[in-house]
Amino acid sequence: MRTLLQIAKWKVEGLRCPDHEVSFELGNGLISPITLIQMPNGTGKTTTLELLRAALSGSAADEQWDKEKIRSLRKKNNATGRGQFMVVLLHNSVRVTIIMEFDFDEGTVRYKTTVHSGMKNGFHPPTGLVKFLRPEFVPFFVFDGELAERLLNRDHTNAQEAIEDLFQLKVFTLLITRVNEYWEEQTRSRGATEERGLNRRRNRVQALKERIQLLKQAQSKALKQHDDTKEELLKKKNKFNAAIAEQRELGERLRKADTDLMAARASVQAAAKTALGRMRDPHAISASFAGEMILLKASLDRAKLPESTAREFFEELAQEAVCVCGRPLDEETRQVVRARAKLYLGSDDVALLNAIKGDVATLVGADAALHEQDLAKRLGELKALIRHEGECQTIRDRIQAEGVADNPVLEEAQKEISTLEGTLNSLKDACEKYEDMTDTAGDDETFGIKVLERRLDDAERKLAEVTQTIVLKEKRDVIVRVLTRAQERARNGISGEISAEANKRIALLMPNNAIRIEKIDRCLVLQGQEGGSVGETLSLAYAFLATLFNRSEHQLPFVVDSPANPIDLAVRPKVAELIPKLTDQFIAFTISSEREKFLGPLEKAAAPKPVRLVTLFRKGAKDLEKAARNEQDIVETADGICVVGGEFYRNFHIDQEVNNDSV
Amino acid sequence: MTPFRLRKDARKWFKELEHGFDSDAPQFEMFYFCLIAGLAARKKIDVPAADTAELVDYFPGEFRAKGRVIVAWFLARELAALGIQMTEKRALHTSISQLVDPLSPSHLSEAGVKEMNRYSFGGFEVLTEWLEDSPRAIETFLPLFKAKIDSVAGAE
Repeated sequence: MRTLLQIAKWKVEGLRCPDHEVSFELGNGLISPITLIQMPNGTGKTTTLELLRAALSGSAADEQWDKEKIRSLRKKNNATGRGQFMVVLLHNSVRVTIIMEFDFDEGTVRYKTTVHSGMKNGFHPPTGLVKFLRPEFVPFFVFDGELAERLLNRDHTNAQEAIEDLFQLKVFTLLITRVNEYWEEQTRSRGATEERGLNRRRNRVQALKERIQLLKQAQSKALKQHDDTKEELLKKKNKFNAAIAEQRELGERLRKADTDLMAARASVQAAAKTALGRMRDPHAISASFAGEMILLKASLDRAKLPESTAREFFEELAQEAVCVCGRPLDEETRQVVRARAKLYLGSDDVALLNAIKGDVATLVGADAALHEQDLAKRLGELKALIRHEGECQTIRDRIQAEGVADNPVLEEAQKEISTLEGTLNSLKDACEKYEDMTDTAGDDETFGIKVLERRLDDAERKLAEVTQTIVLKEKRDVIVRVLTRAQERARNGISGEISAEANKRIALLMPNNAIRIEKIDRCLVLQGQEGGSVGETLSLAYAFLATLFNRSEHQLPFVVDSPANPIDLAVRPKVAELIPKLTDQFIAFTISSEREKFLGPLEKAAAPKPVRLVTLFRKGAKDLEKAARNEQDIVETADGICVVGGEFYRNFHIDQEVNNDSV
Repeated sequence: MTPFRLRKDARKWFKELEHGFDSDAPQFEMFYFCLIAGLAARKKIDVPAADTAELVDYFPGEFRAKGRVIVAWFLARELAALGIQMTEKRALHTSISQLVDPLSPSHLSEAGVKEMNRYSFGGFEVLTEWLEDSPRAIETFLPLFKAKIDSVAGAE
């Protein structure tokens, strides 16, 4: 079912940020599509975002936050010892209220959830929201620069998982589990003729399952270590190259040498491809092989094979009363004809032999040496190109060695790179053992996961035999196979389409920048580079999330801290144009310096819908308070003022809290 | 139909070239190089089915158009191994009938595929005798393979 989730309002009391309430409701059940909340640094933006994430994900429930962390959120001079954060959501137009009640003396936080009018203690979002309102997913829509960086890091955010959640790909896994559970239940409940044999087979199945699971975990760990080392190596190499590039003249020579080397490598690959294509002709590999093929054809021709008369002619003749010469055929003669018919090839055999001879004539021809000469020429070219590549490599290494010799830091870095390369090779071997196809050792000594999976399949078949559930097992296998393939195809298809669409958005955002997503493999994997600048990473994250949310049938709010601050002035208008297309509700925390080249293009892109502009600041600056009190839409609390209105928002020029002692 | 089979150790040995083959059927490429080495060195052996992996029962990808030429050379070598003279029409006819099957996608009968697989199995042993280490890159493997083939073909 489609999910529409919106934030109607939130309210904060007794916590580190100024007491405030921000409403996004416009009346008539409508929610402001775009809201910018301007808060000077130090006012408690980070605290508000942290509270919002905790309220939406339940991450502070069940004593997941320690007392120290809870007490750190207490407002200075808070005499009551209590605080509260409340967020009101609209889930498919139904109001859902989540309240976090803080008791700073006890160091506890308690959740209350209200759906319709029924209030429950604890964090209990409606069933349809459970998959979105959890700590792993909330950061995708209550978003900050840190998350953007994590999108590119395998250790943290799992972009793949976000796709699986939004596009409900986990349904496949769930179905596979259910199907397996059903089969297991059936094998458990069936009696067996021999109890001992049954137990033995069950134990083998169980032991194999456990070993496969163990090895998969170990494989995943080894692969992660391998990938981490590879990343570290790449970082070191990039750093090393950057340090060399700093030495201007040397850097230029090295860049040229790298270009030459890459070109030489590409030529080698192209020549190898051509040579391989020729080597797929056995007659090109050696003139003597071609000679044998030509001789075979000539010999068959000489022997008149295949004959022009096929076996079927004689078999049919043996059924006739009279021979083709006119003499009558008796039974004895017929038997002789039938027996001798076997000495002739059938018409299909004749056609095949003629086709073989035809291919020899067409593909090999009459000159046995011709094809080998062609291959020799291509291999000669390949060898020359390999030599050239070696020369380019030597030149490149020499230039690099010159730079390293004069710089002990680079020398040290080169040593580290060499060590990492060694480690990477060892880790590669460690990963390979899980793909070993050797099938001779016992289960406990076998590491090849596919081999063990095959053994498990066999063990399950034997268990099915004894429990008489073979047909059921076969059905289960087919269903599991179909579901697994469907999940993989859906995952690859969706990831591929999202990458391609996100890349189109990145090209629009940064037309002069080559940064692109190559694929989604746990995280976003970039083409030929590991990461980008802060602005690039943020733009990339917007492009990815915009695509993700647009393609999914679910609509979630999107809350961002500083949407434009780290982004170049040139890119800001393009990010602003993207925002109205991101989602149905966009909320951003901003500072005054972010308005430049952002607010104007955003309002233009959002038109005719208005952009709701909110300014929230801590009391203290008297002139500012006075100016705010002249505004129409103002909410004043003990320590904060919240003004809704474009003019006040545009004229507000404080980026940093004047007196943030109380924060 | 009977499939071609690749030795599992051969697959491991060729692992580094899997991408270098740049092919839709990289395992058949491995099978092919083993086959050529086996036919060239006239070496065929039996390997237990458990130590081999099933491939396709036809000539895939780049080999589709070359299937009958490969079969032609296989027939030439096999007939020679059986000591059949090209002038012995009936013996020639009988042997060819046993090895080919016009209805099979590989053009080979069950016995024919089995013999071709045996050449490929033997060919892998030839390859490991020729090359001390498993190949690391297609560009260096190809000239080396050709040189070794020349040494065998030239010695005949």
